[in-house]
Amino acid sequence: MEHGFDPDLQSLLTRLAAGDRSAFHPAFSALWPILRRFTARHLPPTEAEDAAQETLVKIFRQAAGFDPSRSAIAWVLGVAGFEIRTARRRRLRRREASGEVAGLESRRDPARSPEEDVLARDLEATLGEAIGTLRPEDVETLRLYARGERPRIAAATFRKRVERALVRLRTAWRTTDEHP
Amino acid sequence: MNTLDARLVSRAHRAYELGRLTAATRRALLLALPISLALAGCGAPQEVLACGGALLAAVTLFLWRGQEYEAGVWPGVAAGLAPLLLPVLARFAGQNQMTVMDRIE
Repeated sequence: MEHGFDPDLQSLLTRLAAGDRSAFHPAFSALWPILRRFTARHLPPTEAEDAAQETLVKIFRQAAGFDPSRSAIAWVLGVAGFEIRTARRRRLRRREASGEVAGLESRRDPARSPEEDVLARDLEATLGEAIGTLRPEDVETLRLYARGERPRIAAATFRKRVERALVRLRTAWRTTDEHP
Repeated sequence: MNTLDARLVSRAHRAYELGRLTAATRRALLLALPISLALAGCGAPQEVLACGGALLAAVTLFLWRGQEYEAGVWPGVAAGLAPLLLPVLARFAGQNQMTVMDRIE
């Protein structure tokens, strides 16, 4: 059976599921870089490291129940994806609780190198392009959210709208990111 | 390996063993059914409880350990179920036979 692009990880997780302890360290060495890269791509650095660690621990906790007929990499990234969503929700709640209003400009690191400046400009351009593909209502929702403002609707409704707009933005971002 | 990695390895290792133990316990609890059956059908509950407890502990240990130990658990349990259920079935069949004999008489 075809299991995706990492047959080594597949066999390591299968051995772990069967109780073969000698597969522990090779599995750890194979998983850790994958998870760090994956979480770093979807979360800010401070949260990415924590999310990668939590995912790794969760994968090992659930390793006994790993079904060898399933793709190991898909399973691993599924657990990581769940952890990333949890980290984002946690951040959203923290922001809501503290009423933090932080524009992109205020987050700018004054000690950034010229290379990082170029990368940041590229990122902003791609973000602008992705936002351009959204519906006007979504753009308005995100604009209000970024400013820390809220229209005269219930907080839960607004949060739901923000979540939906962010999902659409992510989809547009992925499309823009894949086809520059 | 730096300190963070070492700490993470030990955390992951603990999580792995704990996860295996939890899964093993959950699967071993399937034996509660035949043990309850034995308790209901046998006249010596203390012995049944002692043997059932030992069986549960052994099955949990083997499932947690994995590999050949785990592979042998369910064939072993299946083989043990026959002598466990035979007296219960014999008793049940004996009672039915007595009822039929009573009716004939």
